[in-house]
Amino acid sequence: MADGIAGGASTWVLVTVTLYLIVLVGIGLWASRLMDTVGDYVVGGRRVGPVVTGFSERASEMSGWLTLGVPEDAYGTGVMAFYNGLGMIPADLLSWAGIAKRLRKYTEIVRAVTLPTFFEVRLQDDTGMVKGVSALVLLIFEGGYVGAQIVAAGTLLRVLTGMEMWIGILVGGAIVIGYTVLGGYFAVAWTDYLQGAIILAAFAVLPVLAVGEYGLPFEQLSAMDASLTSPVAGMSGWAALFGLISYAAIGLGVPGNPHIMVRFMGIDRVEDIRLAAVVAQLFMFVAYVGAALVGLYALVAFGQGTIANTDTVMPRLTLELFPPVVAGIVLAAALAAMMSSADSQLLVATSAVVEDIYHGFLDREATERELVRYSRVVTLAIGAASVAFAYLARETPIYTLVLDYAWGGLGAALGPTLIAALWWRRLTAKGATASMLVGASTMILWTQWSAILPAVGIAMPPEGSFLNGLLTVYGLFPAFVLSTVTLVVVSLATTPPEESTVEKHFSVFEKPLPAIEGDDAEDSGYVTDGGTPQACTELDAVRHQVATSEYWKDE
Amino acid sequence: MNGGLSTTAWLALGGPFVIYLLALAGYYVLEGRRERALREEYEGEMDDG
Repeated sequence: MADGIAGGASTWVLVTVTLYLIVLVGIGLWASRLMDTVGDYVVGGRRVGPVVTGFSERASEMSGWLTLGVPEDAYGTGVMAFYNGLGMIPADLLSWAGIAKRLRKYTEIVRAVTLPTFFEVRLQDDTGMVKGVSALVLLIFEGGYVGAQIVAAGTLLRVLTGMEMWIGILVGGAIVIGYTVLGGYFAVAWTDYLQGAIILAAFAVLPVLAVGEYGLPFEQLSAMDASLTSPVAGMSGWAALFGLISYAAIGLGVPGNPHIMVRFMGIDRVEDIRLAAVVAQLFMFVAYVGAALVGLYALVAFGQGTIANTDTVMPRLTLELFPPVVAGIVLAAALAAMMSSADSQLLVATSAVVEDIYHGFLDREATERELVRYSRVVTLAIGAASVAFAYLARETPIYTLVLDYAWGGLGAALGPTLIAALWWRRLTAKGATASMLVGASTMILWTQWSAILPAVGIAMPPEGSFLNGLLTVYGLFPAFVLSTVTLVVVSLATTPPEESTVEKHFSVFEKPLPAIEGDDAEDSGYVTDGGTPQACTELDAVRHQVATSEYWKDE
Repeated sequence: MNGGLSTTAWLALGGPFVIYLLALAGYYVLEGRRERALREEYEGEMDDG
């Protein structure tokens, strides 16, 4: 049995975490009584307001990567870790400005609840190629994402209670899967709101307490190691440049990560999108600065190189600075963030299988009731596979695990296609498919250079050289670039979708939604997902809910 | 040195965040104006719809 680090506080910590889980299960049970269509299960019937959307968009993405990973990065790198927000914050704002409203309107008009369905309809692809490849990408990388969150949850449970890692992984996995099956997105959105608030408070208060205890950390960090107070971590030349590019490139993942995009699709009123954007952005400012400061103060409090598992610096500092009960609440928030991410990602992977593969290919006549039932079975299956992945990857740092095996793959494979689908009329199905394949495979390849080159008898280029910088840069940068180039070249070389339909769809962007309803009130010609009027992805049910929530009477 | 960080480091680390905050404020204002203009332009269609 590993020793917990909670010491005398562990009882209070466990009590807090247990209370949190009870509340979580309660919300899941409550929400399950409200849920009656797959539209509810995946996008919450689009009944989610702007503040909830803004918080959940951030909370679902930030996850174990923010709560444990970014402090761990700051503990190892120093002040350069503030640059974790360098690409993420502007990329998120650009997504709200350039994607959210277009995606919300477009998916409403073409009646799509998942990204693969949206791609298929937008690109008029009746071969199933776009939908199949994008669903496969989702299944692989969202599954990896769920696994990474479960590793984070297992790590936290282990250091707090002393339980073995595999038990922590099993317990974390069971909670995530059970909760998701019980409640679906509707519960996810509302609990994310609560969890987002707790995370925000934790990362705002912890540095304030640390300033009171230690003062500003920078002088002590500078005395410890001058590179800790360097904005480029003491690097120079190509190494510094590629280091900065790596941090900035993290933001390239925003448009391709469907658990963020699905929040855009689920917002209740298009008019509210700018308020949701402000909420999400302010959340990011506080959380990114706070998380980096937590890692820096861990250096001041515990010293450099004294902690074997650096993923634990956040819980350690929390226990150091907060009274036991408050520490319990903060660590419950950290656990909540991991659960929040994992259940969102599990839902996206589920919808890829149930909506895009089963309903799209295998049984187009499936009833809503059948689909809801299958959704639960698939959630259980993907969840179990993710737990197995988590066990195999349990020694990999969470920061790397998320960026390399989940975030980056989704960003490189789906990001360019999503942006082009909303902004470039000339995009073709073949261009999108090729882009997804190139993006996903480049991302996987780039993380393995240091293993591949020596295996084929080639030494890694010397550190500090351009080539070394290029091969060790965060893989999302080259993968996104290659994916985009492929998309443009192949699209220009292949036959575009029918122009009049694309033009009609794009005209949607220039109108407020109530005006669009007037255009399409008698139009039943839009392509649908399942082929029958009753199919859940027709979103008839959702449209009805939207109408009764006065979405169409938006003023 | 200011509090352990050089002035250059403060600027390099804080500068992007200040710019991002200004960009956010600009987005909020401009997006609001754009949405209002759209609604005024399509007022008739919205009433019909």
